[in-house]
Amino acid sequence: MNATPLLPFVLVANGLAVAFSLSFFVIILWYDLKRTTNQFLAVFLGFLVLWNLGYLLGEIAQIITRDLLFSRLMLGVTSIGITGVSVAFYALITVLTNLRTRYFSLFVALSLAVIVILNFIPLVQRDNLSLRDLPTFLFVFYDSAGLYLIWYYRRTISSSLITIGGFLFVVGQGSLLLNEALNIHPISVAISSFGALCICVSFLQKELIFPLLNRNKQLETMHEVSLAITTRIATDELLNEIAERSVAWAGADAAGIYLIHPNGYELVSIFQLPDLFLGTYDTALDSIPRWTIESNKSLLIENYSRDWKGEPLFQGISDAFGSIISTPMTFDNKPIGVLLVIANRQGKLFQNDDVRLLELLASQAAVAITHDVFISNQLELDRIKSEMVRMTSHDLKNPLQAATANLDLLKDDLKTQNITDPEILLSVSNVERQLYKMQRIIGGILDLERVRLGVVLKDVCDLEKIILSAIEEVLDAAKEKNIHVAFVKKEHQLFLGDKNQLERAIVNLLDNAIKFTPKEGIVSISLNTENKTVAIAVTDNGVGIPAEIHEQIFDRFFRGNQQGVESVRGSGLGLSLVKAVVESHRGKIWVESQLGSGATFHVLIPITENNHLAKEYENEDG
Amino acid sequence: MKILVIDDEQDIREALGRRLKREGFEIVLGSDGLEGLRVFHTEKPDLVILDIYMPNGMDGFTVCTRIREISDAPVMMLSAQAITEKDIVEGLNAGADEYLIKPIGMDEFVARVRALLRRSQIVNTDPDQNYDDGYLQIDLHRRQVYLQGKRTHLTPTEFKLLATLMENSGKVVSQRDLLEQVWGREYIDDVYYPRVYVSQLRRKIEVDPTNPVYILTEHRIGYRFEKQVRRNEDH
Repeated sequence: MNATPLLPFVLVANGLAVAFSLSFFVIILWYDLKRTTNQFLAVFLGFLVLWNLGYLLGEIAQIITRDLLFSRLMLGVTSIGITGVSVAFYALITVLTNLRTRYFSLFVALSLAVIVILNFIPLVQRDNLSLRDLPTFLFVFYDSAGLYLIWYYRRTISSSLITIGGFLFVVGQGSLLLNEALNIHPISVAISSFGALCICVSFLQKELIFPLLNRNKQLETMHEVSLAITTRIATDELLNEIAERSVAWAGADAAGIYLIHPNGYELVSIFQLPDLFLGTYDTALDSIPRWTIESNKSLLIENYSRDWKGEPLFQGISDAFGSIISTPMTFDNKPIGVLLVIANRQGKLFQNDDVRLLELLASQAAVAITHDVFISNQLELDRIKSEMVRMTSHDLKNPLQAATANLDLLKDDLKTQNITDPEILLSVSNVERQLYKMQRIIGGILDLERVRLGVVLKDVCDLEKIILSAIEEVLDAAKEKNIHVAFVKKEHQLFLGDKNQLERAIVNLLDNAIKFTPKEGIVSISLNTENKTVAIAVTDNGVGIPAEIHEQIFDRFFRGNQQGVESVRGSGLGLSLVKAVVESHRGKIWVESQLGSGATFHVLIPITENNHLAKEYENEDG
Repeated sequence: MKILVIDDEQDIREALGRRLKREGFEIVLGSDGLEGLRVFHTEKPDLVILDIYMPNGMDGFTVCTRIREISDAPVMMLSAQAITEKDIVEGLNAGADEYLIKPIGMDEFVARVRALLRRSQIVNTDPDQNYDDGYLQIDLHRRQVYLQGKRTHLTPTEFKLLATLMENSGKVVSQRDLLEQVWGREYIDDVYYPRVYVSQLRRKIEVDPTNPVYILTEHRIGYRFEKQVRRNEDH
């Protein structure tokens, strides 16, 4: 090898190539050597380093020492590098294109072993030239095979940098075949190394840089989807959002969402698909959605027209489809629908990574949809219940009005006709009592409904006055049982609330206490304000409430049946109304009681900015 | 005194009628909105008891509005519909003087009927109490109100409310006092009555109901009637 004017530059280029190759080699080893592609890349880089190093050291040795043995050794190393790197190149491309067969690794290892041995034979036996030609033939064979694979599977590889790098690498190696007299070797090494570096950069992009960038993008998308889920009310809008996001996320061209419906799989949302498919049902036995739902697994179709043999998807336009991912949307391990993303023929070729991403999105979507459906069902139920309450109470009130009015007339007639038969009078009073009871129950239901429909915190509430007027209302009932009602007032503060509802609630609490207190008993109510909270407590010394029903007593129509209270009558709505009123004032209610020693109902109502009364209105009567 | 009871439920209609008859009132009945209006035209009752939800396309609100187009006779709505204050306010806005919720005890019903009739027949004989500022003219004696010389129809409740406020002009009348003086003691808890009627009244007598000059609101306390400086005739 004679020195050329270009030599210093070439040496510098070679040195750089060695440095870069080594550093990439280290990065790949350090990053993740468990992945097969990385392993093959490492082998490829290893041989590249050998080639470069061998050539470089050989040149340097020639310049400095002119030691022939060392030069020959380096020549051998270079030769191993050249052939080895081409085998590794072929192997790498094969791994990239997923064409590996069972004995592939063994085959590659053997090839490399043969190359190493063949290259060391000439070192030992200088004259055997025919064997030396074999490596040349080998690298030509592997290079062309690798190049062919790169070209044929360029869409699978989906990286132009690898294609270009591979091409340059092969060109560099191929130029070695040219007349040796041109002393083209240094340029070949430089071109090939550059090509190999291109391949390495592409790998780094794919393995390190893109995932990092993508992770950021995915986090953002996840965040946006979560936001969409929490802010959207309408399910339709949410589904459209998810379809659109999944396209952007997977780099697809179109998307559709199917939900399970009694008639089949309903296409409920589409993105960049013809509208005419929206709302159609998929009922075929071997369709993509059905396959996905029934297997509860994601389906990745690389090439729709080549790989999918089942029922055609979206008949009429499916010719344009390339790669497809169909992912089940599962909630609580049950599929509720399918998220389908489609790339067109010239579009992206989906990989397993994309499937994983879409599975993430699909599970989010499933939670959102389930949640949404649950909420809207709940709202609908609520509406129906409300409507039912209105209707029934209305339908009951008219007959009740007719009955009370006629009973009133009847009573009048009995009086004017001087009928005093105790049997007749007893029947009439029984009817009257039952009618009154019915009226109270309906009234209770409607009271509750009224509170549920919304309490407006707009009255100036003076709880002292409210309690006094509530006591007045229950005084007759208390007197009947000779029960003493005591009022203990400490601090009190005015606030904004619903005066009538609060009074109703306190009347119910007192009523309840009187009902469950034996004759001659004591019922006391206390009022205090501490730490911006109004506290009311109603205590009786009645039969008490067993701990296990302390929560239930506030339920609608719940009526305790503990000992000693069988004779107590009521609608079972009183306490649920109290609870509703207290809660609509953002307060809390609970009971403390032990069987046999009475009960205390505690009510706390916080005074906040919402119901705080400005100073100027205090002492004025609303 | 003649009272018209309009209710599609025969049992209710007749029972109410019989009870009122025993109280000494003359009674006419209507079984739906249309018949009720027809009876109203021919019989000219002093008071109307009106159900709201009625079949044949004409409900109580419509009947009430139609009656208001031609008469100031007090109307008492009696309905099973109302759940919230809003429902009641809606009824009052249709021009009713009273909104009772079924089922109501007969004694209370009769008491309310008497109170409403009383309200519509109070006569003030003190001519000094009349008011005239050139734009608004109130004749307490003849129970008439004129706007720029043109007579305006006020329902008995509206008139009573206006008269009460005017008699106390310059002073704030609390909601409670208004309820007691205009509607009666038994109405003391129907706090939305004044609010609804004041807004009705403003719509009838104020130049700009959203910026009232006659009936002013004292926030959270009550209302005040403010006499205006006599205006030019060409106003």
